[in-house]
Amino acid sequence: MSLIASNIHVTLSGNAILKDINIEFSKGKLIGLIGPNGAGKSTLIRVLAGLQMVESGNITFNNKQLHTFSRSELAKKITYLPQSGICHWPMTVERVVMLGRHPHRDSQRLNDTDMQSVEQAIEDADVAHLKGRSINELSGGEQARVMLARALATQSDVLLADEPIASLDPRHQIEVMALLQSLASKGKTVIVVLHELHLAMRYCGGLILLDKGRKASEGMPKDVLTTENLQTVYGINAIFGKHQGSDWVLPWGHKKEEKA
Amino acid sequence: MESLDSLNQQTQEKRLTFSLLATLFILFGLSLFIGDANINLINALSSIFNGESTLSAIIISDIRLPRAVLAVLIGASLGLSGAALQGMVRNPLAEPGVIGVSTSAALGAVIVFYFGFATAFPLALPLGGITGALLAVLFLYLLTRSNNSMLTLILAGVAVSSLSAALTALALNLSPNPYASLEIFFWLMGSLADRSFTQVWLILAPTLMGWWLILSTRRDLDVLSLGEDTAQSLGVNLQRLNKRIILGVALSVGAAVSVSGGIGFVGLVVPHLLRRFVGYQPGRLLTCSALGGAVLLLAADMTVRLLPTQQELKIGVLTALLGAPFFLHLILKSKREWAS
Repeated sequence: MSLIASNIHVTLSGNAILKDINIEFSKGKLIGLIGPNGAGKSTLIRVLAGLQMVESGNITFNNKQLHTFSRSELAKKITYLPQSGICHWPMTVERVVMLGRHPHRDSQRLNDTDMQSVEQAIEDADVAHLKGRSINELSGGEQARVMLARALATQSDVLLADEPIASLDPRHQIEVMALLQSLASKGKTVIVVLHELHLAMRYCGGLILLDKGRKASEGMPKDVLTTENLQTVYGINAIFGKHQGSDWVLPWGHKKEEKA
Repeated sequence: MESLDSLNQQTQEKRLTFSLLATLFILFGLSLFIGDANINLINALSSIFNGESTLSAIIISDIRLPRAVLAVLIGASLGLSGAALQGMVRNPLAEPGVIGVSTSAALGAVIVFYFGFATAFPLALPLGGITGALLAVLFLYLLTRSNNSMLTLILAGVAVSSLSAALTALALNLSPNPYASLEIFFWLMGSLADRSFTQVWLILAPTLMGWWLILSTRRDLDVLSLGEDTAQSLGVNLQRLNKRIILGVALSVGAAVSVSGGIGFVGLVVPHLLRRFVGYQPGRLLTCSALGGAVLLLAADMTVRLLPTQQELKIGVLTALLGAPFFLHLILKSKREWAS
């Protein structure tokens, strides 16, 4: 698996959203995409999913131009999980997760592999107890986990997830991050938009920091989440520490406050 | 290794399909018995098989049979199109009648009538209907693309309906022959009376083509429940899906309206009643809605024939009388979504 974006520029209704983005994603890594609101994170994810046209630049997937793949070919390899995924009809949780098998289906019925993937995904996203419930009756966090299960059920090489843990409670945030980390260790490439800097620091194998459409920093979490980067890009101060051998970060007050 | 829930759903769906089919066959048979003339069906059938053209044989084969066949074809087109449009715009209020597609198809047919194309060239009638329907579906699709709220859809439908109705009225108004306009006026109310196999043959090809186009989107339509972006990322070719539904609806509804006039609300009521039996999946709803539409229209057509009115009630009037309150009920039920 190789996913490479080079010199990406995206302009949406006159505004430059992404400017000269160059990134190379490698196999089996959990990469966090961080940055303030409006930095271009969601647009970048959509570009990588082949859903957003670029003004200029190149995306290659497995050494082939991304746009030369057909939708159905791409769907088997790259999964996209949008920010607040919705289901327009009150289908049951199991049915929604089954839709994740769409790229692999060639008959009306789901086969054994399909059903195993669905079961596994439902288990992993901790929604087994909601299986028969209608999705519109669930809380926001529960719906987000169902959508994650839907994305996992595809069992693709690459998972692009836009803020998958934003509406989850702390336990499920930690569980999902640990799950994504273990998927990455098994060879999946996981690219995830995050605002939770403490979880980004703890679980990601690498971070990309976007600022106003540009790549501000890239590297290991502790090299990206530095006092200087957090001050210039987010305008915040943070405190850092170590617990059981791992680095942690805690955003603490904004810049102006500290100066005063 | 399907789970229990999905197995149950499959049996439920099979049972539904089977009972709809059975009802359709029974109603179809019964409809041959119903009419003004009192006919011994056994005698009529035996003379049809023996090739004798007795009066009862002619009534069955030339009047009642084509009427029943048209009810099935048109009802299925309306039920199927309603379900497909609702799936495409992800909105339970989309229906050929409500959103003005039927009115535009009627306008197309009226223009053909008005200029006398229909007498010169019989196929002009369904072609006129199809063109009218196509323009309306395209317009609504483009409009709801950026904003698929209930409000936009309904208001756009009102606009399309009003414009088509106004243009139709204009044609009637300017018509040099008052009898012709009266005839068009009655035709607009929607009816299956006094039709023959000529009409069946006229609409058969576009109808079947429309059905095929719509049914081919079955699985993609399920995935579209998750929104356009997600559907595309799951391998759905969105442009192809939309094209097929727009063209399919235009072909089948345009053809239907051109021979029956405006018959509303079938595509609204039927999918709504059946949706829960197919787990709310828009793709699975298609076949059932087609069958349900055929059953409903056949039953409605039998009802207007059985009602002891002096002049036979127009079937379009009946469906509107029953469908409009239902439409209101649906709107009230989904009132919360209006804000979106």
